[in-house]
Amino acid sequence: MLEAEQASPDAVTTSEEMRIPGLLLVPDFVSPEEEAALLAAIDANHGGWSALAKRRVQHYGYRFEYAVRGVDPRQRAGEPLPSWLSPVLARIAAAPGRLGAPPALDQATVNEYTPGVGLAPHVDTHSAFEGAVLSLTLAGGAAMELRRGGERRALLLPPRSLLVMGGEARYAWQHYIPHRKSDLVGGIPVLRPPRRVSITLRQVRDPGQPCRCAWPEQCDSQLGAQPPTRLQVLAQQLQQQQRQQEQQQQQGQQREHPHHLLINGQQPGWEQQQQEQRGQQQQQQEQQQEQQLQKERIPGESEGQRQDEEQRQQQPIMPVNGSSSHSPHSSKCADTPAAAAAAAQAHAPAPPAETEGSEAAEQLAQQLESAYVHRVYDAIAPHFSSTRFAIWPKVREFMERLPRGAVVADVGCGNGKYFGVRRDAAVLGSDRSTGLAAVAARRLVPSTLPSLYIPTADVLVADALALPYRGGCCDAALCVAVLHHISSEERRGRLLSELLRLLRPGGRALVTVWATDQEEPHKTIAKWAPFAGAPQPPAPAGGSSMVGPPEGGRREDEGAAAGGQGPAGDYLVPWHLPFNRAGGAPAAAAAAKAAPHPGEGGDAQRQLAGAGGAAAAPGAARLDAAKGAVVFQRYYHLFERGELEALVARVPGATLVDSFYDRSNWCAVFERAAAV
Amino acid sequence: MLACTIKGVQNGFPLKIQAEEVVEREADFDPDFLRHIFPKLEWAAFLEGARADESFLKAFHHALLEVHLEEGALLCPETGRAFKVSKGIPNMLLNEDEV
Repeated sequence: MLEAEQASPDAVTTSEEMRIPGLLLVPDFVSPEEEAALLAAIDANHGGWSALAKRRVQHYGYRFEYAVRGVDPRQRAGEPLPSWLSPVLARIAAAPGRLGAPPALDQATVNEYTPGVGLAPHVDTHSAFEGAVLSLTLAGGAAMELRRGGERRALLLPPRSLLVMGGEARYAWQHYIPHRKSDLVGGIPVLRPPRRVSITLRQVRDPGQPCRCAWPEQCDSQLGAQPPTRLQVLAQQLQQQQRQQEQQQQQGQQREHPHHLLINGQQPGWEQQQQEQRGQQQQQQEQQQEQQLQKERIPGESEGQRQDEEQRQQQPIMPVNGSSSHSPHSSKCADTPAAAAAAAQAHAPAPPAETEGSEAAEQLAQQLESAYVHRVYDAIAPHFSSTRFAIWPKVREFMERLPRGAVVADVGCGNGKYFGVRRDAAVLGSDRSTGLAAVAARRLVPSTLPSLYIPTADVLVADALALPYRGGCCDAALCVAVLHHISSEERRGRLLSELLRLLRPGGRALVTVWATDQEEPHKTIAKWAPFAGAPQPPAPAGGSSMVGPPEGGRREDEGAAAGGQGPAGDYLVPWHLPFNRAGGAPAAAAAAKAAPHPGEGGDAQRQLAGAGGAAAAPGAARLDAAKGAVVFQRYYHLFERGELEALVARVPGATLVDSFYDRSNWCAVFERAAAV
Repeated sequence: MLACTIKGVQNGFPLKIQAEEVVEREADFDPDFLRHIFPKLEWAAFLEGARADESFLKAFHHALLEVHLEEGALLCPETGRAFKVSKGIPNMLLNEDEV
């Protein structure tokens, strides 16, 4: 399974697109001034907050009791709704059809969310509240998801919008906000703002008038079939444990199997226990899913995990130990990475005898990167982007140490996920891939992305080896997971020199690359195809030999790299683009348009596109009908211990400030020497 | 434009502003005048004075962050080479013969 497919649905921005009867999103329901006044009134009520596990709440009109998911209709929480809510209530009352709101809203709950905090899936208790439930979003937006049966849909709630959930949306669909720090909106991961405050408005139901809605399966008035609340489950668990202890003491045995009684069908009340267990399991599963979503998507590590399953079946297992007899090209497929590597070499013009070797190497490197990096990222941009949203803590740390108002070059910015990590900084984003630059640029346009937050940034398409900026104009440079796509050592050195050139004296660059030391080599490097098509460094002087031999024994877990031939550390790493992915088809079309290998007609590619309903392939992409995916091969040069530092050391004027290993990556921070 | 002329002063510009009362007087908007005065301005000094002025900051914000070139090109002053800007994204890639 691809992680991307387990992730949340892409959020839409209008309630019409949600196609759920009774759901209505009214954007800009209150003005920025009214929003500020509402927030001020809420914040003025210091004593009104009560703390839940992860968020704070205030209740007005009636106190909401989380233990029973309702209110006690006989007990008003002091007074009616406060006067500062009156303008909102009046606007609702004056709207056509009251927007479907119940006639006498008399209960309000204020929720305060910080990034990473969400709302558990629930249907507002039918027996407790009458008619539609309204929710006003203030300060910052978030994506709310609704689910019913197997259906899941997500809607972006921008600040100052009013959401009305009536009818089917209110009675039959569960709504929730995933616990995470960013949302996927229109295909782009968008960071949550520092604070979101919502005001939920409801009308307390007259206990004498039970709910008679058309969804009895969700209705506690009609069936009483409401799942237990977490507090109820906890209380029951405690009781159970007590019972068990008592019983165990009575029986005086089986103490080593404390869970025995839980699953013992002969115990009284076992059905109920099982149900409770199921409830717990469900909760745990949800938590796990959320944790999964929150997990850092670090290049290398997670990619390997994600593609683990598919690759196992698609590719010949590479020998793990370099000394084992390595049987390359034994595969029957003509399109294995090894063959692709050979093909790339074949397509690259053989270095003519009269040209200088370095020039030919440069040409080969450019062609290689064009086929195995640029075209691939153009083709997979939207899918790739949707799997890249976690902010790497080490990058955040680096950004947080920068001075206020810093100008930061993000070289190889990808989908722009580091834009806006520091709100006071300006980011100059650049990427070699037009497709990724276009994805990143969508973060900067309010009309396509209703206002969670527009970072101060610019995006352009450029080659990292020829950056179109004045020298010395940046306080910092980021180059995250880019350098390992550069296919010759000489060019890798040039990229670092370019970063240095951008920096002002004292400015710092953070560079990260994949390491040959993968944390889970069996899931990653052991499955990648070693690649021998990259330009070889001149034998005596350069090459990875400059690093010196790695510490003893390390070569053993280096996987297939140690085959003996070719520059160690060069690999082709697959990317699986599912046919059915949103964005897959346009990406495929783009790929089909991209010029194929020299000498090949475009017809075959178009046929492929027709047959698969999706992609034709730049570089070494191939269709895998069984998996429903197009498999692209990306070139990587994996770095050995010390290699990145050695590369920095050869850049005149660069001072290495820090270097470290983190999650299968080598990282270096270097500084431009202060002007003398 | 003002500078201190005390004898022997090397560094008499720019004069710092110590404000006690500031008034605004409307002036005719004259684009030609503005264009001609541009090269004569000592920008560092101008910025010194403008930094605290809210309306200047707003105009600056507008020019810097709110005006975007959506379609068009950026031209190299020396070679005249045009870098196309499409959908707000400049393409700064070079051709092989330009590297």
